[in-house]
Amino acid sequence: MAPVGRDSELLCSQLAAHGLEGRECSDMLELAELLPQGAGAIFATEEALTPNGLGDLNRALAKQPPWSQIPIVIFTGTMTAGPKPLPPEIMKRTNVTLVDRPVRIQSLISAAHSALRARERQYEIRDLMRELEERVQERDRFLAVLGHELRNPLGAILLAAQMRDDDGKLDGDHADLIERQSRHLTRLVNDLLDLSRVAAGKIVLKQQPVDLRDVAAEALRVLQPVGDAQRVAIQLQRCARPLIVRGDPVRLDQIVTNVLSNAIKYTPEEGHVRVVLAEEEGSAVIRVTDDGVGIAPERIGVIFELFAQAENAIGRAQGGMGIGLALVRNLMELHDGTVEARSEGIGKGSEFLLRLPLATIDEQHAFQTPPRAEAPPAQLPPRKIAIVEDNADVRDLLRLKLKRLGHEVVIARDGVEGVQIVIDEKPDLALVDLGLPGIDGYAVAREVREKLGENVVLVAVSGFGQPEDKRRALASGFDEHITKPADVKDIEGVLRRFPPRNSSPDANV
Amino acid sequence: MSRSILVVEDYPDLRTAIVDVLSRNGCVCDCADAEAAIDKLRTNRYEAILIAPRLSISADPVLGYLLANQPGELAHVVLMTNPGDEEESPDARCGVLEKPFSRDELLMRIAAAR
Repeated sequence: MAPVGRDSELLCSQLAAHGLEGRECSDMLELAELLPQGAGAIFATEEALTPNGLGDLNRALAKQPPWSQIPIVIFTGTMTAGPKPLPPEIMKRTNVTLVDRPVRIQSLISAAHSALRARERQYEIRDLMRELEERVQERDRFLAVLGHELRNPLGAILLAAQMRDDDGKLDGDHADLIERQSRHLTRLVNDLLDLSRVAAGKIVLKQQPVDLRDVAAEALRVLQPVGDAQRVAIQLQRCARPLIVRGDPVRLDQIVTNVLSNAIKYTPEEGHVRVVLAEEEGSAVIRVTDDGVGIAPERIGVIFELFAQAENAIGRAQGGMGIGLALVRNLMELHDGTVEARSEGIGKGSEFLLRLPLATIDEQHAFQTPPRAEAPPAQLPPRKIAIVEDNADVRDLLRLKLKRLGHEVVIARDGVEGVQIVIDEKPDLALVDLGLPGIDGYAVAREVREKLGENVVLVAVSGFGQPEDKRRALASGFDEHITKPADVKDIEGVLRRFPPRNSSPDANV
Repeated sequence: MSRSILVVEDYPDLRTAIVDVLSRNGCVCDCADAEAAIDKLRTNRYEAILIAPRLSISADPVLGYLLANQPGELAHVVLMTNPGDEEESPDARCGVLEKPFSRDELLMRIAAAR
């Protein structure tokens, strides 16, 4: 406050009596110097608002951050002409209340409270802005690291693809490398999408009793080629009895794959990774240990944070941005489980401990005596399949793979051609890309259904794998929705689920 | 004795692909992690040194070693960088290859560094 005479002393004592703290200033210059330390409101007498005083106030206000519009309560009434209106540049940066003198204590305190309430809203905005700024910075860092993370696999794929011989043929090693790195990129993209879905609370677990021995074996099968390429030996030590937990098999698989792939990534050539399954104190435990680069003690607590590995002091070029481990922690929490990292320090290897509640005795029992499923058919009978896809590479590759399995394949390059070919050729199954030029996949499905009814199995293929995308596809008449890149395994799965419709009209649709 | 190219890249599949491309084009390659690379540089001379900096260019141990001990060799260095990295090359004589790079870009940079 910048008043005259004893006003400020009186004011301070009144404010103090009502639990508010005041600071006296002899003039606007002193107030201007104090303002950067923070203030909830300014009280000033109109006498203090001399041209010099206004100049000082204006300079101080100009230095306030953009969210700030500090309330000013001005005591008026002693000047015969009344207060002059404040200059517009000051009005813009403050929030003025005029109080006539003599002031009643009640009005004074009420003016003070109302000024402080207004100020509190501004503080909320300040905090929100700070938070937003941090998030933007975090996102920028994330994108920078993501770019980093994509470049090594892409570089390896690009160079390996250019290793074709004079006949244009690629040898097995380089084809393997391309497949391995493409799968790595696919996992990365899936993890990325899942992480944002976990954050939005959109992942719903499809829980059932699962034997962790199967989960570990599958993760090992997938990552063995990665270990081989890096000359890291992976050893799996299964327990003798089934290790049954209640969980979503797909997510459990993702958890173990991520922890194992992380261990391989941070283990140098000729190193070792061990996966040990055990039942401990009523929990199912998966222990993944390696003799790799280890974790510095001060980093153990943060490695499950999204950006932790981006700033990894170890500095392996294969980096890793911590998407995998952040996702592991989130998915373990959804399963009421925990994940813990241990290391004796840099260069001393690490241990990751996954702990999940065991399934109930009933569930374990039910799992161990399942009705024996009939053995899967070894070879599918040949079918007629239509591929409606505008991307020539995707189309040709899929056609080649399906033909190799003995199926008859017809192709279409856009939606219009797609409708025509499905109606003319009446295939058993049509794979339809949703993002087609001309008429899109949804429209293709609607037209085909209109003309052919249920006599063809329609499968939507798209880059969008969220439940909403699937629902939309099914609503347009598709029987199934698979996410790109469509694997032959996915397509065979669909073929097994949908027997030829002309021969078995009661097929479960 | 024919001189060779030293490849310092930690990402195994990328290193494999680089070595395969260079070998098919008549180069002899020697691979090492940063520590081993420094040991090799103490005794051997290379016609080109391909380096993927660890973490950052300024913190890379191999570059640090060359700057301090064998600045003359910097003319034979090709840095494999990530576009968007803020840091500049420590020496104007170093070649730069932005990841991901193609076979032709790689061969061109190596030819220039020899």
